[in-house]
Amino acid sequence: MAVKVYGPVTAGCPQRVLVCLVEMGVDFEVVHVDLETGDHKKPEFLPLQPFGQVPVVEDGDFRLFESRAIVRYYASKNAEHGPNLLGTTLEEKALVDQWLEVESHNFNDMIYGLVLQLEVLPRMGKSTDFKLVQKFVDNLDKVLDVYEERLSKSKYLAGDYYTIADMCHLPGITFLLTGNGFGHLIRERKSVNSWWNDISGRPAWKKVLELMK
Amino acid sequence: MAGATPMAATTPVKVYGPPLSTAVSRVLACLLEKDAPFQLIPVNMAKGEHKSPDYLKIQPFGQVPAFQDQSINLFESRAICRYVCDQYASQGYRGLYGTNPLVKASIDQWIEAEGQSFSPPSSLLVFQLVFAPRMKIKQDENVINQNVEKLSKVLDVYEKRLGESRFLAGDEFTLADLSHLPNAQYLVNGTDKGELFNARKNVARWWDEISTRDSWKKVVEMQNSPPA
Repeated sequence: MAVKVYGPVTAGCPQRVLVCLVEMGVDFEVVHVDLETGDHKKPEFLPLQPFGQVPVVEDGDFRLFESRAIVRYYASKNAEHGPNLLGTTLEEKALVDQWLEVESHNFNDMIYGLVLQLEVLPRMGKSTDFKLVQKFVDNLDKVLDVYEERLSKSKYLAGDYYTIADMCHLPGITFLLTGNGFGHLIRERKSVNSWWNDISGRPAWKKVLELMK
Repeated sequence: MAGATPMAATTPVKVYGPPLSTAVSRVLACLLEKDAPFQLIPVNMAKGEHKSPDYLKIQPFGQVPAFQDQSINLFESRAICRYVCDQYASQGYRGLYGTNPLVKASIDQWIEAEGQSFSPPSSLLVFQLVFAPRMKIKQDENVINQNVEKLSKVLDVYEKRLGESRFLAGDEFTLADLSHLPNAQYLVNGTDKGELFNARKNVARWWDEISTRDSWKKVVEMQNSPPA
């Protein structure tokens, strides 16, 4: 039975889950949730995801929310059907966890802030706080300097292999590169840029981008 | 490389950072739950030690905590906690990070909920209400009000969940509950916003259970002791 993924394919958090499911060869079906009409906040949706957010997955009777928890689960559960995205030794796994936490907090907090200011608030008829936008960009600059240093010494964030730590950056970096004027943050950093070209060139990510058309 | 053998509880691990830091205290709680000996190494943040070139070698983002044992140098408190649970799986409190994949998934889900939904508003409130006055920084009433509102909505979800389940991920105390201890401790005991927790019946019951665990009491003692 296919796993149901609730959420629009165009939103970053569902995309994080979809790319993992494609990598791990998991059959899935996307159940569209219209964020603009507030489907995710309606009483019918809340039993699925009590914070009123996407994505949430349903796998038979099993239900799980929070994209990174879902990614961890399927990367492990389907380990024989896909690449090893988690590391093998306790130490390798710990480095994957470390960089996934970095994505989750140091990196994604800034992306979330930018998306809120530049896309969500204007759609709600509210104004963008450009001082905040600059603050997020300045913080991202500092964070990406650390990434540049790391990726100049390591092919992927957690080591020699592509892992969920790299994968979880795909939607956020796509946002930076898509017509908001932040592309230079990635393109002007040699190691970050080459890492980006590598991870975004993977067939699984290309398949997710196809789903958006 | 073959799987490393989890290590025996003899060599203390090193944790860098002040116990007053919420992220540092998260790691200390986990080490105590797992009976893992540790050495706490002070980092003088008031003097900017966390931004010094030596410190940046072990935590390149200039944040606390950083962690070292015989095999690895790690940062990010929730990653350190997961590693400690795996490394010391056979000792201390066993169920901290689950014993099967479904339980682990539920724990991960609630650790993420803590990191993504609970932590942002609660961290801002802890900064505004606890640390800003100590650092003689002016409080921002707007930020306080907005985040009280945000945190209230999150705690409404917790109230419902904790009416269905004794702890967040299920019937046992896990890393998911532990992750909440640092921020909640400050809010309940160090600010006038304790009502957010105590006025919600299930949240109050849960808070009482998790905050009276021996490991957490020891962490609070460390926070209240003067530096060595």
